Amino acid sequence: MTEFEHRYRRLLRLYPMEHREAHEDEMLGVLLASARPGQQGPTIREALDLILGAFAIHLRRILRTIRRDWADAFAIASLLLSLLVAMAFGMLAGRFLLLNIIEHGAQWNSAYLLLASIGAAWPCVIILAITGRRRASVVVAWTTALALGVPLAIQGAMVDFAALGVLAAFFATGSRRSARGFTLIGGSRAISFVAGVVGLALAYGYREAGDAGLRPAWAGPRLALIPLLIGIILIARAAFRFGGSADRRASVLLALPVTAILVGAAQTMPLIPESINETTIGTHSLGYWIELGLRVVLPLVAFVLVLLRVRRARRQSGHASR
Amino acid sequence: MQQPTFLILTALADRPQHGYGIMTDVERMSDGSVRLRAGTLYAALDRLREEGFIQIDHEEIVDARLRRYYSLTDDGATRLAAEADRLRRHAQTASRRLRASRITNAAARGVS
Repeated sequence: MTEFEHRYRRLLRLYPMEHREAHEDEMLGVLLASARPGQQGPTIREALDLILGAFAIHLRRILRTIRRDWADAFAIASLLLSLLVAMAFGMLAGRFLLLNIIEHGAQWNSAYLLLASIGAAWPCVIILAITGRRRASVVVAWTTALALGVPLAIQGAMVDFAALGVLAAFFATGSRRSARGFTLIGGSRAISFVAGVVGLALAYGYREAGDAGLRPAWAGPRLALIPLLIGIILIARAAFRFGGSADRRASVLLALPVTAILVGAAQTMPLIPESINETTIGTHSLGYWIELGLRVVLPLVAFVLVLLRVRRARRQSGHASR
Repeated sequence: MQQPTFLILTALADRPQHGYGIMTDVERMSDGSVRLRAGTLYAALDRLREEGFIQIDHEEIVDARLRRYYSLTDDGATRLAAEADRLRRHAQTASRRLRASRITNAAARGVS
């Protein structure tokens, strides 16, 4: 091999192995044939062109793998997150509208228009997805997440769920057939997930009723832990499955966002005694720092646990197939 | 469809060609305005093969080097024909409007 040829081969090493095996000699032939007389090696333009070409081919391979292997996982994750976001915004919009009617009669308050629009749009995303209108579902999801959810988050309301909406829209974009999400999940798992979200809402509503003095004296605040725990268990069982490869990948996609929401829901409950707030560290109370720590640490712990569980499940399925 | 893709498909429209043949043919067809380099060409060939517009036709060894010939598939020919038709319609519209425009008529009178 000449030094000239060696310099070109060094650049061709940037290409994916499979592409090199099929095309390296052929590309080298083209590069040598198109070289000018007296040329000592690749010109800067040629080198740049080969680097960009290698990058384009790598990128296409990665996107193809994502489309082929992760499409089902994206379909599952987008459907479950859309359900969560739809129910959260729907219930919040319902609560605000109800309070508005109680306080101001049947008068329409335009301040809730944004919330009511989001409350109505997410169910549309789900209906479009499960009826196979994927493109329309993705367009409505992105429009709702960016045009409605982000302005609400900027105002400081429902930041978690606005971020979750963007994630749901992103996952919907990656799923090739959105209707497949419902087929893969199945009716009973979807119902279990929805029941879990209702459980969290009941716990939250129970606590709010207590704050508003609407709860009877015998009903203590800790009773809210029952629907909360049932909700967390139902949501976790529906979201994290390890039987099939699509379920395992969906569990990885959902680990951080779902755990973050569950931790956030648990933190609205009186789990930490108020006395802890008598100690302050810096500008905030000890309770604040503990809550912040749990909010960051627990989703990360859950993510690592899901990864370990996925690894074990893959090994088991590998042994089973031998 | 981008111009280099259109020219690569056109280069394969009447006969199978190898990589270097496509490069020189594209340069000739575009009067030197489009000069494909190897990186761009093989990224395009990889994409066009994945999309099913071209296929490997045959291989031969020349001077101890592999030459792989590519040809258009039926889908590729249909896609190229549709693109050529679209470009023709746009060119016809542009020519018709230029003929009808006062600027061109004035320019034509000036020339005569």
